[in-house]
Amino acid sequence: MGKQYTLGCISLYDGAAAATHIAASSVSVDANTVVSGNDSGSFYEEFQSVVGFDPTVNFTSKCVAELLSWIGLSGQCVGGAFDVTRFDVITRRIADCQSALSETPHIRDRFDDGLLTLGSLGVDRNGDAALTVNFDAITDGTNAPITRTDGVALPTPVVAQRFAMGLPAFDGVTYPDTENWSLEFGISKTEKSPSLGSIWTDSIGVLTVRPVLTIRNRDISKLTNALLAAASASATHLDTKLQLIARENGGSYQDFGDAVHIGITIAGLLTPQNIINAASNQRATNELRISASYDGTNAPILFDLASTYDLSPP
Amino acid sequence: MTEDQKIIRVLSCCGKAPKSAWALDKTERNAVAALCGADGLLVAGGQEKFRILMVEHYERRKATSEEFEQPPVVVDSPLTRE
Repeated sequence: MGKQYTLGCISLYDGAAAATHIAASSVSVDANTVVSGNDSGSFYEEFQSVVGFDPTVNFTSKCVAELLSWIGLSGQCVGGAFDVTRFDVITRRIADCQSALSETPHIRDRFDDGLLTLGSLGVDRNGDAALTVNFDAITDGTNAPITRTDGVALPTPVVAQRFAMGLPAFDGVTYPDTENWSLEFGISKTEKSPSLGSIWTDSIGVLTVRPVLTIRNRDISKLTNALLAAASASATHLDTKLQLIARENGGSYQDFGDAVHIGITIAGLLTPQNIINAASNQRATNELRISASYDGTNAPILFDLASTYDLSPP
Repeated sequence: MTEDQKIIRVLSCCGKAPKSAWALDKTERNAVAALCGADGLLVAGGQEKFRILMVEHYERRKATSEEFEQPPVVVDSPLTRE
């Protein structure tokens, strides 16, 4: 009898070993197995060895606030000594018409050591915000970086959140006609290489953080002559803000006055990238970009995960 | 702002997630909250002060837990750079 599986959830464990289960919209666990040969003059390869095995996980989730409460801009180490002690990927077995599922039919892939980093955060005007997260697994020096258990129950409860685009402001000017925006966190990491005598990597770290925000906007008049002449404007945490509005299950939006929405401020350099993009029978747009930078005191991107929704940002 | 809100703002200003505050004791919480300015941003020199606080916090936890091992992963951020 065949077995088939689909998306389950991901689980993060805090320092007290309590798990939070979070809904994801896509998950990919890659083995990154490296096989090398002996580069001889033989017609066929004759000597093959596995020289590297570096599992990585990439997942996308709409639970933006929950995930940002676990993973900061500079990344989050996973391990017994850290604030996140364990990371699981749960794959749900699909019930079929051949046999009833047992109580524990699902698969759990467990990672006890590694590094969680933010990939990108984006939202369309009519869609939900989605956050991508990357995880690089490493060994603890003894055990494989991934442990699979075939036969677990589906965790409950699973956190589910959805956020819509809110009114943004850049350089002190609101942009109510924003079509979409995408924030690439631009995190580079050290190259992974196996520890001596092993095929598993035992170390990884964040090298640089270079976030870039791209904004596509319908109101092309927002790109003023002054901005074009200067080709740039400064963005600060006090005048540049993105907002995400928490949707309500069984309603529309959560109360704007409740501290359940997300505010994101950015410091950096605002530049025009595309001045007009127009075609027949289509709405014209333009594109701005903010290359985020350190203002000398604060991180380039700041998250307020318990914000009220501001109708007149920043 | 409440002390919790100040702590979360400071953590964000230092590239850390709110969950990172879970093991701060009362004294450490007060010290971290004091780094939050009236505008919700870090006070001058806050990054370095936060880094020192986190080193002390780490040392305290290490001294009180036999299971606490030297971290195998080093995040090269302003918070951990020597």
